[in-house]
Amino acid sequence: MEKEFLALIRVNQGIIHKVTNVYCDNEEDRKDLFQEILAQLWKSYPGFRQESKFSTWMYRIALNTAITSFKKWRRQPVASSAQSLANFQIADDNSSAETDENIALLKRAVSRLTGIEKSIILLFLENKSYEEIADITGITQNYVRVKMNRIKTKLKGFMLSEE
Amino acid sequence: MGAEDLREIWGRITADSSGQPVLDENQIRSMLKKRSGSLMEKIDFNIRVGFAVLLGIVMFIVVYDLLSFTGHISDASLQASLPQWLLMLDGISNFLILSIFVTFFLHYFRIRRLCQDNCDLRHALMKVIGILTIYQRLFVVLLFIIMISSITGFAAGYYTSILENQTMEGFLIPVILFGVLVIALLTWLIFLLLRWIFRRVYGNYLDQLRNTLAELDELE
Repeated sequence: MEKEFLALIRVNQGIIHKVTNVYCDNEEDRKDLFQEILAQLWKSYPGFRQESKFSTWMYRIALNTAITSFKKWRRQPVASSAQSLANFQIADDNSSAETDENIALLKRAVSRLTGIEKSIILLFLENKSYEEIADITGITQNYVRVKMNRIKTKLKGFMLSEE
Repeated sequence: MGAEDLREIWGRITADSSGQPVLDENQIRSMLKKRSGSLMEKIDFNIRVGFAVLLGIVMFIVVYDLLSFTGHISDASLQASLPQWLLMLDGISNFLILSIFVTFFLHYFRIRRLCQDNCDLRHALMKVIGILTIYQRLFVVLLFIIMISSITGFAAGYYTSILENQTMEGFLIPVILFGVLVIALLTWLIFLLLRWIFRRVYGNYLDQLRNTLAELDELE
């Protein structure tokens, strides 16, 4: 089981990186949270029954751990600063200046959202369906839709105010 | 900017190029071996230890009172000469202590069952909040049990002492009331101290978790 788990984590570790980057401001916090999520995944793995995709299950455990993390909260008790997501890099280097600017704006805007909003927008941007988002967060699909509309409005507001 | 635009921009931000090293299986394994227990695991362990201590105290109080009542560890005639109201108070307090312990124990297991390892965010939050609240209440319950037991013990002890020495009969009620007041005051001070320590360590964290849960629930 351990071998199987390690292989799955090796392939899907990008999910943990994405979550730690969304929720943590600095390298030390990211490392701590990465380890905490990894430990939680290993602890929960025997209960993974393949009813959902492995990536969905991983997001569920990773987001639960990130939002309820005591270590993370102790280090950053107030809302995340704009530094969050700063270490995400751009996928390729042939983007235009305008796109780069949009990316920077989106990073800053996402970092200003609340913990729940971050998890919903992260799942949405990762192309998770409303059904999956509802399943991961424990809210209804209707509420996910309402919440998504609010988050999009909020993000646009943040991005416009910075332009 | 629409949803697809946002997704397109997000798509350009890749995790693989996030500056984080890509770990191989050996690195992941060694990271898992190095891990220390999470806060919840530690608190859960403390609660179990707390339950064991509480059970020990409750059993001691109940068994001691039972043995005293039957005259195994004290003079039966002295026990028999205690007024009915004091014996009743002792019985009621023992019943109360046992009921509180059982209720508390059941409440703890109900919260533990609320969410297994793979539950959704709402239930994960409810479980963490529930366990932290139980942890806080454990100390209050312990204090309350010690207070009740001290008050009945003090009243019975003082009454017995007056019976044996046949002195100060006139001061019985005022002294017992004063003693009860002092015990209650001391318990209250310890309670305030424990509450202050708990709030200092976990207060803001607990508030944050409650706010997060409230945000999830706002339209439900």
